[in-house]
Amino acid sequence: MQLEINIYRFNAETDAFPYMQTFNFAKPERDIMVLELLNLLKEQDPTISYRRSCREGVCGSDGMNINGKNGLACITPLSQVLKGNKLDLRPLPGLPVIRDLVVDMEEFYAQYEKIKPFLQNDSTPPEIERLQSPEDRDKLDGLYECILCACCSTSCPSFWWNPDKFVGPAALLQAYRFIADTRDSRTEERLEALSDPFSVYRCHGIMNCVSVCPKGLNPNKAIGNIKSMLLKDSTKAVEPIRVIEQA
Amino acid sequence: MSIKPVFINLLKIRLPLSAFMSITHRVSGVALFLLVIPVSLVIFTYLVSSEDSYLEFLAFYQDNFIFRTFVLFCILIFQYHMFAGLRHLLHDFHVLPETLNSSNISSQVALILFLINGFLTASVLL
Repeated sequence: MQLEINIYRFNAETDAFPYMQTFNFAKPERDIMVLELLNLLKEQDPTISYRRSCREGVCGSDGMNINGKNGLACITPLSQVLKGNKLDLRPLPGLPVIRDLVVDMEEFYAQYEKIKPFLQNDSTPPEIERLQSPEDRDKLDGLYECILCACCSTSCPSFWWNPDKFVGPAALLQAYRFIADTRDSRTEERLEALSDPFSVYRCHGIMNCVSVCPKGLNPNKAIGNIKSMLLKDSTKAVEPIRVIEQA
Repeated sequence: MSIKPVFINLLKIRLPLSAFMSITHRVSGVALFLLVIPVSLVIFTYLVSSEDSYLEFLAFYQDNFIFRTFVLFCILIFQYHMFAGLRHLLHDFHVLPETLNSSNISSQVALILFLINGFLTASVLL
């Protein structure tokens, strides 16, 4: 059986516009991953460009749009995504394409940088380490595992519209990872930084991020928790005014 | 050097049902604001202006099938926006869990409720 593989091609030096190039390929006997297929195609046409590194879903380099759904090529079996004998490979949506399946992730990383993805604690560090109860540590499960492959943020229409203002599901998941961390002492500051109309509130819960996450994480839930904390914070701010009125 | 292209083709990107609900909720909201509310206000103003205008409107409404269909269309937009919006609120206030599965089920339930309600409204109005 022959497979019809359509790949998004664009070379800034030679092409004015991107186009789809079709490759015919004999279906391998065993089930292979999409990345392996790309490697085999690259032997036919060495100009096909894509990122890859660990080939086991840990580095998050080979995020791409596979038959309409974002995913990591290295852990997506061909049998799961083939539609008949067709496979369409496109770059991650919403980000500028540098070449073929390689996108410019600057906007994505800029949002990640914005949420200050590191532990901040003003108290004097203890001699060995900052301790945390097992219950508090459990709160970080489902948050810290993100590999920043950008599959979620680039599948989010809100991120397509406002990649410069909306933080996006990947960075918001990380923001909540530090908000929820009991060892971090800048919770108020972190929430304050997200309280504008765009950073968090552009999320309307369409769940595309959850649907595509190759690690099975739930950024939508983290965003919901941030929204609830912001709401509690905003009601707290109203209280002193009430006290003044009563006095 | 040419400008870097961006791939966003909604016909080529698969979205879950909850995305469809969210996008159509927004579209119905815009229609509600630009069409349904202004039309309702115009009709209401005309209805309450005098007894004659009320009776005149009633006669026009009963005789004109196209106008009745238009009114039904406006009501359906409102109902769709309401069901999709309630679903949104239930998720936002954590009444329904924020998982893909529950989001898909709540979308299906909202759509079924809208269809039943729409069908009943249509059978009364037309």
